[in-house]
Amino acid sequence: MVVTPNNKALPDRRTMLRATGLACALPLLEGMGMDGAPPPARALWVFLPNGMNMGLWRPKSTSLAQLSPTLQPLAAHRSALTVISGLAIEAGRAGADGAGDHARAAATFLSCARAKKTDGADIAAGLSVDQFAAQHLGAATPLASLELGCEPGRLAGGCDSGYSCAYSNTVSWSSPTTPCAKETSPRRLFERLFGDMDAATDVRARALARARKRSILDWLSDDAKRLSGTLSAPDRAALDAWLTALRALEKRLAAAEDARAQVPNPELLTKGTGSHAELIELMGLLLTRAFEGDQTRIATLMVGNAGSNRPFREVDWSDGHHDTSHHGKDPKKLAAIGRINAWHMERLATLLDALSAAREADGCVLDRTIVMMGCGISDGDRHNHDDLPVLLAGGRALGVRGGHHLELTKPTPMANLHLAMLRKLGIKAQSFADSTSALPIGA
Amino acid sequence: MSTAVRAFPMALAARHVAGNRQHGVATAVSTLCSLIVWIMLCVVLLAKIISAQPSLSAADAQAAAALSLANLVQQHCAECHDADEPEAGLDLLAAFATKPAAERGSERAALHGRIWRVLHEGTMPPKTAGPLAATERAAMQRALETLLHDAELRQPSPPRRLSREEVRRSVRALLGVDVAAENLPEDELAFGFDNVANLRAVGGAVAEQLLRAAEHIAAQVLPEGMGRPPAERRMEAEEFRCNTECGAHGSFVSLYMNSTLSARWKVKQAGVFELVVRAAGQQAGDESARMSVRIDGMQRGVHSVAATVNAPADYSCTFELSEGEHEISIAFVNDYYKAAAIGRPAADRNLLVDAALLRGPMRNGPHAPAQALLAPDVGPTQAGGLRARSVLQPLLRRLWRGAVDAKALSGLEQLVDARMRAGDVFEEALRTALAAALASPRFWLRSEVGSATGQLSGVTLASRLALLLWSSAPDAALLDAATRGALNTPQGLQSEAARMLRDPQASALAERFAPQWLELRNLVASAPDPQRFPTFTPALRSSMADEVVRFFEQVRIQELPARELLRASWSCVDAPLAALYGVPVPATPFARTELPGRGGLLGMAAMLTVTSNPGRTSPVKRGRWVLDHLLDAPPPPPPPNAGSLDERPEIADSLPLRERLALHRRDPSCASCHTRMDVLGFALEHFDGIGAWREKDGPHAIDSSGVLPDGRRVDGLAALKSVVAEDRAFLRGMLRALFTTAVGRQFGPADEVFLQRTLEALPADPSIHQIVLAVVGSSVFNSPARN
Repeated sequence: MVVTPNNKALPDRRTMLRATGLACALPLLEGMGMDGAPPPARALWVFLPNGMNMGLWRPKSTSLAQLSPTLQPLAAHRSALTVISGLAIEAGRAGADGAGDHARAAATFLSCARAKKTDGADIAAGLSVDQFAAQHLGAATPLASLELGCEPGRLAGGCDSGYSCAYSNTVSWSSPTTPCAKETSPRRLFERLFGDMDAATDVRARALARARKRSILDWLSDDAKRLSGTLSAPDRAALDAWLTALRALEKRLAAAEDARAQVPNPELLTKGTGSHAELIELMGLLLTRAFEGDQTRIATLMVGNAGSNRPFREVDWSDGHHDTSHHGKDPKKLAAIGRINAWHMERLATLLDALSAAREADGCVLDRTIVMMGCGISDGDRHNHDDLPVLLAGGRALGVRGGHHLELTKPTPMANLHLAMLRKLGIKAQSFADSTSALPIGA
Repeated sequence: MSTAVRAFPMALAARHVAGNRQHGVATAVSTLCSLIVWIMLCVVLLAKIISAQPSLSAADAQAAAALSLANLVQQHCAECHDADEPEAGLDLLAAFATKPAAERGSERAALHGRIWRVLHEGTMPPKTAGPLAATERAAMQRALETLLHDAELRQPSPPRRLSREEVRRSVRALLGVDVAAENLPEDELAFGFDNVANLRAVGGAVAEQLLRAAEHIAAQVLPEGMGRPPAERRMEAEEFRCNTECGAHGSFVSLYMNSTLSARWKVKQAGVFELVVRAAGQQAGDESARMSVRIDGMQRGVHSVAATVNAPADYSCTFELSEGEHEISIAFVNDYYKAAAIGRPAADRNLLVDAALLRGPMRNGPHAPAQALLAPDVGPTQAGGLRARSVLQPLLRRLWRGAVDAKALSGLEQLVDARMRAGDVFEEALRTALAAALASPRFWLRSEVGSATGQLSGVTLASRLALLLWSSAPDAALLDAATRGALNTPQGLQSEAARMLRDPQASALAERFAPQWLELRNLVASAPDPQRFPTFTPALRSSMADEVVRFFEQVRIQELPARELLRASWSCVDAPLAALYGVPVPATPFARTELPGRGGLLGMAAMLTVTSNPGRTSPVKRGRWVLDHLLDAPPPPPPPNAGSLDERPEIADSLPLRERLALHRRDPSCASCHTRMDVLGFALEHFDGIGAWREKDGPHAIDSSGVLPDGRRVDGLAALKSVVAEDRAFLRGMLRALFTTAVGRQFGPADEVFLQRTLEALPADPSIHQIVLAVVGSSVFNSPARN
């Protein structure tokens, strides 16, 4: 199927979501799980590039009664928000590494570990908090985690000042030397979750397709044993990583079939990627479905790659985002940055709408999903890695307080927030990266 | 000079003897003392050399060179490059005095390479420091060359996966189908190329994408339904709905007035369908009963139904149906009735319909990719597995780029047999086996291990050649040459590479190498402000990208000197570019066109656009592009907290860009790079943000002049062209890029001596082919990427 732009299906979808948006707040007796077990705890980390206009972002008091201009689009979710001021990532600072703050912003965002400055094969950062969580919770679900993005990587050249593009293009690291490739195509994401879109719609045809896929997988893993002996050690390591993924896929074949049955109208989800806003919404919808069907509990979403320079005609601004973030205090550029930030908050609001509209047990998916959104730098012109713009949304049923502005009096490690989130997910971690204690995000 | 500096040779020497001894001890020793120890050490070392081997081994020669180098560095470099505010952040003493060389091999080699290059180019020591005598400079370079001996062979390449484009071209060449890039895993860029580092992550999503893409490609070659007769669905006439009145007539439904039978049929797969209606007529009047077949209200066939009720006939028509529900109608359109009169019975013409059969979708003639694949098929006289072998064996030799592993192939045969036992027809089972072969690492992994002798095997060389020159799979002739051993002789390798460069597939160098080397693939992401540049359209963007490819290809196939890329007074333009450049539209698109005041890479809209901001030109980005891609001298990244240009409107609107940049250069930390970068960039200021000529930048007159740090004056494009073209660094940069993509690792400082040697072996003004052949003939290209 061809993904066509400007399809009319999405507004309908939106209307539908709005119509059901408030249902979440009501207790739903029929939604209780068969075995009475509560639905699982989940987390989503959302990365935004290039920092913020902090003047327009920062709430004026500890209450969210008055939302800052940037946060206005989130008004409907006010009670589920925690805005956090004063977080810092020490590993993001230049130190002896010099330029490359954008690459470091992404590489340290969830790892809080220093990224080795290299454009070569020897890249190294640190295990990221989402992958840490996935390694604890992932076995319970068909997919241990999802890594999503809304912007593909560059096609030529380098990314940032001698840092490998891997640092700028991913926030998820499954080991200090393994960046996780992210999925940027809604179609491919759909197929990972629900099986081939092209496959015939009837169950028997899909069973046949599965049987054929199994015979491919059998031959591949059988042949890999023979091949392995002829390879060099680094090639063999790559082969092993690939085989592990294939085995996981084999286990998931049936699960994908079950999940597909829950998608009321798969075609609806595969249309309407004409605009950047629609693409982001679509990734959010698919992610919501993945959470709802318990296909995964852990996800990351890079709305843009670090240092992204896409122009923002959506907010009437034709210069690149990164170029504009070097505002040199130009009021026009500062205002444009503010509009871009607010536009991103509109996208977040749409995602929170979808997570609220998905009902389960006595609430909605958002109640048991902690959404963390933020940047790895604060002001785009200064490239500072402290005073980072960060907010939490959701997770009410997991004990996240919400509805306030948590102002930290002195620079506090971002890892403290990561540790707090891990604990809310039920992971008994003593510490994470350079954490000093768990941030008080609870009620 | 500090104590630490004086003690340096001693510290280094002590490391050779005592391994882990603290060098703090050494710092306390006086200069005289250190000299004595150093001499003693030389004696010890010499004794060791003599006792171990009659002649100087390479390792010992290197140890001796290290000592000599250490001494020279200490004398001539350490005054500035020491721990006390090291110049350029380079503390040479610390660098040489840390861990033993073996542990820091690659870093040490890179440092040696850096020092060698500044000595070679004469940029160090600076004029302000004491002069370096020619003999000493030569001695230092010799020592460094000894230390860097074979450094280019000692650096392993990381694992590699075929890039999207390499997969696409291989699949197109071998199977005749196109696969959309978006169906393949995204490439990971490194050093500007997409085929160097994309095996960093092969787990998770990437592994699944590889499998899905393989299934997708196989289904394009052998489409669904192939090998099976088209599906048929029969519907009795009674199952149709009659819009007015119809009657029963035996097994027929009788349409005795102009009425219509309709039914809704669901079509799962679009295609060409055949509708066969079994019908007869009760004839009367001067013509036969006429039947109209309509799909969704549109008439698709009219039949004159001459058959009679005792011998009904089949009436067929064909049409295309899309996926989904369709209304199929059968209408009687020439009802005739004449009441009985005296001597004459009633004349009544009716249409009798028995049943309808919908058959399809049908294949629209033979499917070329399947025909090509199945050409060697031994046919159904053989069992499925053996048939599959006849088809797959010749394919896999090229797809897997070498000898086909017998067990891997028999595994595929078993797969085919098993699938056929499970009910698949041969074509379906073969499709599954083909998908498996495409999903295999034997296809997408570039395994380049050496043989027991440490040499690259012929087929691995063939794979390297095909991927470098064609971005695709080897052809049979190349694999035959490899099997004969022809690639393992320098002449054989050269003649095979020369043959491949004459093949049309070598256009991959223009289509893939050139845009990556020049970083112009980012043109797709350039977004000039539509208000300022209303003529910038998607069509113009694609013409700009094509110009680079066509121009490079012309220079390549005509075997013009590679430096024609810079010197040319012409380019290849089509109508949108002719409008942009202000020249007449050429008779054929992209014909060679003289471009007064333009021409060559430096006047090309693609480059001028990629290096501009959306709203204005950026002399800095342009200057940097010239340094990066044409002069092989990428400037270091800006220091942390480097100031940005003052963009406040009161400044930006009142000061020309040149003056704002001049303000920026007052900062000494910025000046060292910007003095060169800005001059190169300003030379192109007459070209606006999408490459059109302009006389003014807004209200400001344009000044495209400047003076390079070495005193040369540059004013405008012509002067810039000659400055860049006369510098052999351009050729070195091209060599570096070719080696990077060929071997799959960075060619950095440790390779400087090797690159220089390769450069010096080239003719004075080499063609692109001569440069490519130099790469192919090099020791690096002929050695394994890793062991």
